[in-house]
Amino acid sequence: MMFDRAADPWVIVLLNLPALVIIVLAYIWVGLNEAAAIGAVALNKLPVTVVTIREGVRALDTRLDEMAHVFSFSPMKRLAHVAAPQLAPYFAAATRAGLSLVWKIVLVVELMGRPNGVGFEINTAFQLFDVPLLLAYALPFTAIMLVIETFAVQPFERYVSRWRPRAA
Amino acid sequence: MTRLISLVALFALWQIAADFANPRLLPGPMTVLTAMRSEAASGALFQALGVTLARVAAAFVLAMAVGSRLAKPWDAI
Repeated sequence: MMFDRAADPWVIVLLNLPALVIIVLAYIWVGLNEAAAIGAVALNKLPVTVVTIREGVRALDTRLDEMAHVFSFSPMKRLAHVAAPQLAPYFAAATRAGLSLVWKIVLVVELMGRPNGVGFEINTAFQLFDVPLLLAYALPFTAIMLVIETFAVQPFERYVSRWRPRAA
Repeated sequence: MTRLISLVALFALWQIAADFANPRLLPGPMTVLTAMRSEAASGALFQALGVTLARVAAAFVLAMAVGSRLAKPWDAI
């Protein structure tokens, strides 16, 4: 509980700090390099992950905890059979929300300070006002992310939520 | 099936809109496909896609790993 109260302002500040601010600061402080680019994107997604999974931790069923206690489960067994299945849907939700957030921010990061990648090519297209070129890069990338979302993320989400009476 | 029809309808609408719009502002699907093909032929398209996907993967894994840990799931155990 103390952790929640202490971490709350940090999470809210990070949640509401615009992605652009984090990116610019990362590039200024760390330099125009790969570490700054990836770090800035990860930092943008971090609070969303924390909030979502923390919500799952809060929603853990205490009755199942008591059951595990009564049957004197070992800590490992409790993690694998009591906590992990309950947290998995939240992890899946964080994955889904996170992936879509990350791939959008990666393009901005590339546009601002990387010499390659889809974001860089879109910047080139912007400077030339070349709309076909812009779409030629944007659409295949969107299609790839759509395929990952449909054939990897959603089945994963369904799989880990299968114990729920109403599946995701 | 419904999704496929809806996707085809999207492309049809795009084509119709492009027929009326300034081609510099809204090129039709075929123009974009041509641009895509020339970028793919030079290899630039795949190189950009690969680099960007690698960045997405790295940032995603980093954020999920650190984020899951910060959420303190062991509180429950």
